[in-house]
Amino acid sequence: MAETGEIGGRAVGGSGAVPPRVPPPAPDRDALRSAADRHSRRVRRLKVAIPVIGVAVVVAIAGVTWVRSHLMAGLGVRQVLFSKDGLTMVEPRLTGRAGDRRYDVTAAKAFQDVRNPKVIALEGVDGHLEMADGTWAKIESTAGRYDGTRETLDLDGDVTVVTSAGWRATTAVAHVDLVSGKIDAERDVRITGRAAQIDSDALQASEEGRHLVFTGNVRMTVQPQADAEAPPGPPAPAPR
Amino acid sequence: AGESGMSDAFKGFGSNTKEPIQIEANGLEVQDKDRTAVFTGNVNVRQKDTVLKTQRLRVFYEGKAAEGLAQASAGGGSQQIRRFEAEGRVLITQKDQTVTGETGWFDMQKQTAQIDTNVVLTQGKSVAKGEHLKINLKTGQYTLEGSRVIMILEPKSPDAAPPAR
Repeated sequence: MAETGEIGGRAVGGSGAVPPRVPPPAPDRDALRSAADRHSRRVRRLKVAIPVIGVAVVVAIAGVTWVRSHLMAGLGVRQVLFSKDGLTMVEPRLTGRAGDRRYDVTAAKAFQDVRNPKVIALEGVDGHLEMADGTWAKIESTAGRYDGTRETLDLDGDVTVVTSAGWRATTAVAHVDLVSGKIDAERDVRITGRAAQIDSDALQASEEGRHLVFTGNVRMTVQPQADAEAPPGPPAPAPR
Repeated sequence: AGESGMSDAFKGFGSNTKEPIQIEANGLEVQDKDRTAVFTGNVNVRQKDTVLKTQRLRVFYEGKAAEGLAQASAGGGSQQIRRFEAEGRVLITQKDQTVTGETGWFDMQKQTAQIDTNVVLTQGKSVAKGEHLKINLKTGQYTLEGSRVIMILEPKSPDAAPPAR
């Protein structure tokens, strides 16, 4: 059974001063034999580990360069952990531009499966999109899945969108088409602004939120005039 | 043109900016580029004790949906609504008064409204039928026009059924 070593992110190889060589005490035969056994086991493990490391490194480079080149993106990662299943990026940060949208997406963790490097599973998604006209949108969700082939981002769990226009949207599940910018929100959609609130089962948003189709149990509440608007500011200076 | 004392029937419907408006429907499509929001399917609009029901309600608003939704500007959300048009089994009820018709529109800026086609106006037992009901939302005054305006006043004895037209 090939023994697979868990290659954590630990620093490999000693650093600092090499300990002085102390001649070992007169070892008896058993100690010598068990040392030899340990040595051969280590060699066997290395024989297995080295190709695995090789594969993992290749996958990592392929994945990272693919993501970087594909999205014209900057990908910063605090730590990369390899395992036989794939590559885990700790606190990855993806910045770049898609069309006239600039985005800056961070996640607590991202996992790229060796068998399917074009898909990246995300945990703790925190995205920031900035449109050409300076408006922006902040997107958060507990989990997400980026699909490089379909160029989509599926967000799952407490999906929250806050925008510079001042309204806020929450839903359970959202599918974002990164190319067209279309967003399909499913289940428990709620859009809240100071002037109104809209609830529905589902929402399709396109044209940067300028075209919205709410479907199923739509309930909208339009707030009355906010009587006590902002407290009266200081009296305007008398015009000279 | 008939006129009757139901003067407060429509007073302030939609134009009253003190009360929130609740709108329910099966679907809603907001097209910001032409500033419209169309509610479809069992649309139910409620403000205080006035209810409007219809199959399709097109709302014309000012400014951008995103901003309109977000900021409570001077007039609040309702101030942003310039006009709305109802289409298909329009029914407006307020306390014991009801109006039904095929289509209707409400102009928030001019504070006027109109219900058209097979208009039936009832208050308690008195019924009036016509083709066009014009309403002044500020004063609540209205005029009923149309070829077959009939005014069935409440018959004195409760059991006399109004003559079927």
